[in-house]
Amino acid sequence: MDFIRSALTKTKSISHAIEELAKTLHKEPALVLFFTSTDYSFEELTTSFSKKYPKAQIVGVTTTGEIGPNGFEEFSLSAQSYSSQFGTINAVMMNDIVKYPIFERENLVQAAKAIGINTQSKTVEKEGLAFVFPVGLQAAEEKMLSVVNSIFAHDGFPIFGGTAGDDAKFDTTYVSVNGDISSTGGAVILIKPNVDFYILKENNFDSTGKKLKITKADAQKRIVYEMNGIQATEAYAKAIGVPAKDLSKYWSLHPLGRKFSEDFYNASPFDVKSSGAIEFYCQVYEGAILEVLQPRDAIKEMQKTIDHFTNHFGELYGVLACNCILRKLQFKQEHLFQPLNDRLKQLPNLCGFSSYGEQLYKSQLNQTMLLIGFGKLRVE
Amino acid sequence: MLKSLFKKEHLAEQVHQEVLELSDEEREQIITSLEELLNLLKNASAKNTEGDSIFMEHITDIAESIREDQVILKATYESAQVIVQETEEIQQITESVESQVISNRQLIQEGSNQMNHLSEQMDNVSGIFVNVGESINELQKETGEIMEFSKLIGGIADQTNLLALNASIEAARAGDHGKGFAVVASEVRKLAEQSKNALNQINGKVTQIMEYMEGVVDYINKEQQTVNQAQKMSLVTKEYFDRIELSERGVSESMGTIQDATEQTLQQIVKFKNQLEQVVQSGQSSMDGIETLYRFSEKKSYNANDMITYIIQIKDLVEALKNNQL
Repeated sequence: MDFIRSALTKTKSISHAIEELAKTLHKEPALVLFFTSTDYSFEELTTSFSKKYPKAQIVGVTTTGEIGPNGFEEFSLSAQSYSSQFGTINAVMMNDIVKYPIFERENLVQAAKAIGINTQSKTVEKEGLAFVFPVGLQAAEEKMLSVVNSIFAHDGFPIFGGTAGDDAKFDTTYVSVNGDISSTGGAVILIKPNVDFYILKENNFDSTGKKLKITKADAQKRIVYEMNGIQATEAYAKAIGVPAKDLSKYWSLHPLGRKFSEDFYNASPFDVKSSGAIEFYCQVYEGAILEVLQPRDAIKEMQKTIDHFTNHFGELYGVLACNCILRKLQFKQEHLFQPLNDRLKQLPNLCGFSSYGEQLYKSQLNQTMLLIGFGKLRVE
Repeated sequence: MLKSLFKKEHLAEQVHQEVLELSDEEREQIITSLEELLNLLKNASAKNTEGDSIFMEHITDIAESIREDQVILKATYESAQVIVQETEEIQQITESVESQVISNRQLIQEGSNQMNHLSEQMDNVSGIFVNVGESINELQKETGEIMEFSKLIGGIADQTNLLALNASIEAARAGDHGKGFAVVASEVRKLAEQSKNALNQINGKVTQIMEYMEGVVDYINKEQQTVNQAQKMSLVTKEYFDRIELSERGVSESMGTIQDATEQTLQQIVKFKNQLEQVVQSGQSSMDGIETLYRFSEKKSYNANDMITYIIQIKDLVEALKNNQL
């Protein structure tokens, strides 16, 4: 079925690039998502897409690497279009997710109501889903998630998303919704789809068995001062078995994970502060016990993920992926793009990006890859 | 005064106006209190999350301990299963040995019966030999009588010869008158001699027969001994068969005992195995319970996250109120 199409271009001229993408995308889509390198002018792209598809809702996100029909790419422009038969869609910009996201709550309630999502439903997981694309570098993802989730009376509304990036410059990230651009906000796309969907989280880390207990932290700033009662850097370096001064060279292979049953919710370190404290890519709080993780074989995991994912579908129309920047950096360093892409391109109409954080339901995650597929689920 | 109190609308308006007219001091107090409450909320939330973490830590410990127990229990269960299988095999083997013993006992019975038949046949043969011996005795007696008759006839022949000699002497004395008689007497003598010769031949034959018969008697006596020996042997063999049968009966009884014991062992082990299975299942359901606790604690941790972000947001709002600007 022709519900979803995706395309990627490396053409640098924006008008040419959009024309090139348009050859593949729907002629009159209901929604266009675009994920772009900072090599392109985000403002110009936002305007040009709106001009090209005046009837469509258009959401744009800056990235740290794009994902297209052939898998991982860099310094490119990737886009995905959804046909009007796909479902009812309402894209909303939350202008401020950093300080007062609560001001946007009513707007979200109305947007959900407008497309018939019953926010009071007890089976809220059947009411639809939302994509969220918060801006990065503001430590604001959890705030955005808490407000988006707060519009539902019961837990369980499917929320899927990734944090905007800026090609690892760590300066400013942008999102845009229907022509509005923000560097402090987040895009929320509420969807009541006519097709089935399935979400998968790939976590290619195992526990090393070593545990770290956060003994002093500031959840708001995402900073951990002490673990196991000693300076955070020291404790972390000791757990990995490297000198404290070299910690940041090794930690992307050893993120910390909060264990729930057999699964880990990863928290990745972002920066060492001069005091020896560590800033993370997600909220961390005192008392939490985290396990030091180690990576599994990336290619084997990817194959497993894709097999498991595609196995859920009788028919798969299109896939959206959010992959953590740290994974991307590791894959690039280890020259794994080619073998991973050989597997990723099995997914039809694939689109997405490498992100500064991944959002799933109520959590802000790190060092994971999220896949959402639309199609017909296999009836067991 | 009373009248004005009953005018609710008027009262509400007054209160409303009072709120609008918060003094700077009151405003300051509200903000300070809000901040205090926020701090209290923050501390409460921190305690809550810490409590959650401790809770999780304990659950994880319990889960790990159960998981370890499960591994041991599963191994024990598998061992019990192997023992059950092996005991069942032993049971099958004892069963097949027992049926083998039964068929052996049948064969022994048949062999014993065959020996009985053989013994009977031997008795018959022995009887026949006895009869033959008796007949030969009779025959020997009869032959002896023939010899007696032959002696008697020999005497008669000798006498006849003597008489014929006398007659011929008398005939010679009678001269010519006796010539004819002498011829007769001579003929009689010849006949008597011929009779004697014939008798000698008969005697020779009878003696030969007697010798043959003695040979037969010797032979029969020897055979009789052989038959007797065979009879004795068949009796011994029959005894062996009886002893084998007795021993097989012992084997059969022992097999029965083994079977009973194995049956009991099997019942005990199966009971043990089922009990183990129950323990494994109960461990499994404990794990399921812990799984639920994990999910519960996962949800709780999301709520804690929400709480923290809500507190942060209220803090920002109080800050805005304090600074009188967003």
